Amino acid sequence: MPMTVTRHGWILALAFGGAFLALGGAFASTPAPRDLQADYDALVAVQTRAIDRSEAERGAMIAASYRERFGTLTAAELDALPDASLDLRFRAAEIPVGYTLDPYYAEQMSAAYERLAARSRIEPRHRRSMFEAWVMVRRFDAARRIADAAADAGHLPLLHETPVPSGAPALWAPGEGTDTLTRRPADLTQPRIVVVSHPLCGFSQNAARQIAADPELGPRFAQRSLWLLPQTATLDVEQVRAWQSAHAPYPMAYVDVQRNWPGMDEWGTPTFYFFKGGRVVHKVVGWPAAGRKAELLEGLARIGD
Amino acid sequence: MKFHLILAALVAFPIACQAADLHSREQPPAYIDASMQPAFDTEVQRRRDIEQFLAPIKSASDLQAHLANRLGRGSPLDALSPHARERFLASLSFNARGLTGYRYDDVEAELSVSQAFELLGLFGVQDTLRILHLRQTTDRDAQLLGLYVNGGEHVAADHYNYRCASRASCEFSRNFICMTGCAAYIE
Repeated sequence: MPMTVTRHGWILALAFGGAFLALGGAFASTPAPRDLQADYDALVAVQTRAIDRSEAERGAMIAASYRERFGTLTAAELDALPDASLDLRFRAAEIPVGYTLDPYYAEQMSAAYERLAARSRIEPRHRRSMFEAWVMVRRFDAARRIADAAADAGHLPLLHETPVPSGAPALWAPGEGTDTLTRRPADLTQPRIVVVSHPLCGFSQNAARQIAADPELGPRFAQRSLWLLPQTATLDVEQVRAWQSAHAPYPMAYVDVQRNWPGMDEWGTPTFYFFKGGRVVHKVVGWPAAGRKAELLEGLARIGD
Repeated sequence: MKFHLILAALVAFPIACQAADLHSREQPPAYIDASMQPAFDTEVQRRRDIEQFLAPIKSASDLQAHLANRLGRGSPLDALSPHARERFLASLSFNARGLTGYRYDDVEAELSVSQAFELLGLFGVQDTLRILHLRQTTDRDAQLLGLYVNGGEHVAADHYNYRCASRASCEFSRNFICMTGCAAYIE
């Protein structure tokens, strides 16, 4: 028997069909909640693979991976992320901050941080990470706002800024007060040795001890060396003072902005840069158990010492 | 004398924790007797040495054996989600003495103080709790953290966000902890 459709039937069919299409459209325009675990895995894998590359390559690889996996998320997509994915996005942005020292990634972190805060999902680790990111990219006002709001985020000493020409190498040295750092320009025109180092680095500690005990190196380093901390996430005056008193007379200070120090392309600790006339003329990396005395003597000879 | 006190405390401490944990199921809160805390202030490195010496996992082969026998059967690693566990395991590095470094971001994101204590205790590096920002949800969490935070700051020098590199240097490595003493063994 042939099937016939009445007028009412057509109207009903059209109404249902329209509703179905509308619903389908609505579902199609709402993205499925995104699980970023695989993206985070990929970023961490790139971070691991980059270990043996130069610092510049390492930063570029990690930044590219972040931008590919996480950088394209729009504000609306961020808003729609479940808490766990939003947390991963925060953690993902944290990775390139220290490798690139680019404020863009701290701002990416901040975008996730603000949303986590609006959802009351901030834990101490978020505050600490956000604080550290701002310190690392030298946005001290933003760091201090986080620290002022919660004591567990981190501590920022009093910072006295003296005028430094834009783009000139500068450092933060312990000041007169007990918890004070003062920014001042670095003079690289005189022959000098800049030792990138860290009080908590065993290799740096060994280097300072062995150099001080060496009759050929000790006095010359006392005269010409500056022990410089990289652009780290913490500024700990007490730690620097403790190091200075343990390794007197070698002065130690924090770098202000790494990229302003000419010719210094590696910031692992310890790395020795020999400057003459404002240029790096010799570089020595690392401090094995046997030391690197011959290389240091070569550097001293090149700067005319 | 101090060594014996520390050793006695190290042996007694996990037993006390277990006892306190069992006890806590009936009568909260779990309680760790303050008198059992050894003099950490001056003995942090020595304690690390002992804890690493007593740790069940001191090498990659120990780790493989643990994964084969304990994973999914009450291992502290079970507390991590599969993705986080893979990342954590892939980050571990060892030298002749034991663990020299690990990735901490997933530990901080997913574990409480007690869970992290048990996980890091597998490798004898539970004292690194003091530099992590972990969730505190129980009295036991607070007590454990108090035990490891107080006194650890002046001696231990684990290099937070750094990794020991093969050129005998420390290199920036976000989310890693380069353990004290790796400088002595990396040559």
